[in-house]
Amino acid sequence: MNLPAAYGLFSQGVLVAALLCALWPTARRGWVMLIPLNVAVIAILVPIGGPSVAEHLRAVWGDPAVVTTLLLLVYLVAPRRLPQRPSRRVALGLGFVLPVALYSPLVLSQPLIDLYPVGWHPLGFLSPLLVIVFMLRNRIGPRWICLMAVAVLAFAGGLMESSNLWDYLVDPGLLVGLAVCSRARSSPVSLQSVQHSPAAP
Amino acid sequence: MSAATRAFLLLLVAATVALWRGAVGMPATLVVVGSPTGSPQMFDSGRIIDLPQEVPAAHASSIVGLRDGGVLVAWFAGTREGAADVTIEMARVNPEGDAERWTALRRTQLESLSHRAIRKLGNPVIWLDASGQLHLFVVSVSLGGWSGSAVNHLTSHNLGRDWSWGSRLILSPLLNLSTLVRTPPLQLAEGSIGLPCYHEFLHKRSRWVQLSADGRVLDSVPIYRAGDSLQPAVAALDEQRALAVMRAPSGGPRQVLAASTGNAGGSWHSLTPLDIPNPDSSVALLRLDDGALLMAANPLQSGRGVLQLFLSANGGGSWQAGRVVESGAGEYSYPALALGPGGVFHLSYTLDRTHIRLRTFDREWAEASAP
Repeated sequence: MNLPAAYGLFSQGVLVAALLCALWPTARRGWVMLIPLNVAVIAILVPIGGPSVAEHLRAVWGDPAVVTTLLLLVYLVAPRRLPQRPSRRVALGLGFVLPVALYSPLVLSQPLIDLYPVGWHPLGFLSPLLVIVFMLRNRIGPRWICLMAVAVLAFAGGLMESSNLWDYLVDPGLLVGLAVCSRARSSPVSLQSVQHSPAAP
Repeated sequence: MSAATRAFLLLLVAATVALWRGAVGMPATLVVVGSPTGSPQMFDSGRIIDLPQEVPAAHASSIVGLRDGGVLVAWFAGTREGAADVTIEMARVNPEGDAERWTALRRTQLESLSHRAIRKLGNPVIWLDASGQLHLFVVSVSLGGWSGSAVNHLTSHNLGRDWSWGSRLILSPLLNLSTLVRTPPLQLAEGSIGLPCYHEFLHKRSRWVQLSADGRVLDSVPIYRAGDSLQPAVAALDEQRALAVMRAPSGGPRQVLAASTGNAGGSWHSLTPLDIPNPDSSVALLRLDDGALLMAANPLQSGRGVLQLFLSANGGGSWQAGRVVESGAGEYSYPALALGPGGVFHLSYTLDRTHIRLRTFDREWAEASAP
C-alpha cells in the first residue's frame, strides 16, 4: 500500500469516528471513546463483501482534504483546541464563493474562469494565498493558518493521490460546513458546539 | 511576535518547501514517435483477425504496435457493457497472425490495487513508453453511470501479464466525478506524458492532461472550447504542434470536431469542424512516418455501419477519403490505430459489439478508395 492509499483509508476512519462522536456525544467520555476508535479501525481494516467500509467511502466521495482530516482529528482528540469558528462574513465568502469558483465550470457550458487548474501550479497558487493570509492573519487566526501550513507540507510530500493543491485545502464537505456556519451561528452540530470554552484567537 | 505571525511564518516555510519540491508543469515539447524499429514483416494487406471471444459483449479496443511486427490489443468484455463481470482482455498477435489472449484486469483486482470499491470497468487505453514499459489507463465506476467514472493508471513490465498500481487521476474538484479516456497518450519531453481525456458530467468536454513520468497530474487544459466534444484523439505534427480530432456528441454539429495546439499542448484552439460527418462516434488518429495523418472514422450522420480511413498530407488542413474498411448493416465502431515496423499499420475496432477485429495493412491499401 502506498502513502496516498494509507492516507485515504486513515482519513475515512477518522471521518467515521468523528461522525459517531457527533451523533453520540457521550462517546467522547472516558473509556467509551474506545468505541468510535474501534469502529474506525474496523471500517479501515475489515472487508464487507469485498472492500472495507473505508474503501467503499473512498469510492463514493474520495479522500477528504488534509485540512478536513486535521479538523476532524482535533475534534476527536482535543476539541478545545479547534480553531476559531470563522465569522459569518468569512464563512459566507468561503462557503459560497469558493464552491461557485471551483464547481461552476463543471456546470456551465462556457465557463469564464476555472480556478481548479491553478492548484497544479504551486507558485501561482501560493503567491496570492500568502499575501492574503499575511494581510488577514489576525482575523484568520493562528490555528487556521497552522492547518493550512500542514496541508501545504502534505502537498509537498505527496500525501494524497491528487497533485492539486486545492484538494489538500478544501473539499465539498468542508465547504458545505462553512456554508452551514454562515447561515446558522448556533447550529447544534457545528464544530463550535463541541468546544467547551471559546477557542483562543 | 503574535501567534498569528508565527503561524504565518510556518506557512511561509511550508510554501517554500512545496515550491522547492513542486514539479514543473507545462510547457513541454512533444516527442514525434515514428514506427517501431524492427524487421518489415510479410503479410497480406488488409488481413483480418477476429480476436477470440467467450463472452457476449466486447468493445473499446486500444492497440500498440510491437517491434517484432506483432501487436498488443486491449478491450473490455463481459456479459454486457457496464456489467459487473466486465474484464479488461488483452491479446498479443504475432506477425503470422496467431493470437494469444488473456484476462489482463478484473474488477476485484483493481479494487485491491486501488483500495476502493469499484462497480464496473470501462474503456482501456494501452501505451508503450520509450523504456518499454506498458501503461494502462482504465476507466472505472464506483457509483452511478459513466458520468461517475474515474481514470486509473497502471504499469506493466511484461507487456500486460502483471500490473503495478500507479495512481488514480484526480482531475475534478467535485468528488473527482466523470473523467474518461479513450485514445492513447503522446510522449512529451523529459519523460512526461500528454493524455487526452474527457469529462461527461453535465457537459462533455475534452481535456489535455500532462502527467509526470510517474503518472502524477501536472496540468490539465481544455482542448475544445467551441461547444461539447468528447474522446479527443491527438497526433503530434512536430515538437510544438499537434492536432486533435474529436467525437461530436449529439446536439452539436454532426461532423468530426478538431482543435490544434502550437505550444505542445499548453493551450488549444478550436478549429472549424472537419468536412467529415460524425454520428456521435469515436475516431482514431495516427501520424505516419512521413508526417501525413491517418484517421479512422464512421463518416455517417447516424449509425455506425461504415468505417472508413482518411488521409491528410497537410497536417489536417484537408482530408482525402481512403479505404472503406467496413460497410454493412452491422456496427463497426471505436477504431484504434497503431504503427508497426516497415510501413505497416494496425487498425482494431468493435465488430457488432461482440468481437474485436484487427486489420493489418500498408499505405497503398489505406489509400485505395474502393473496398
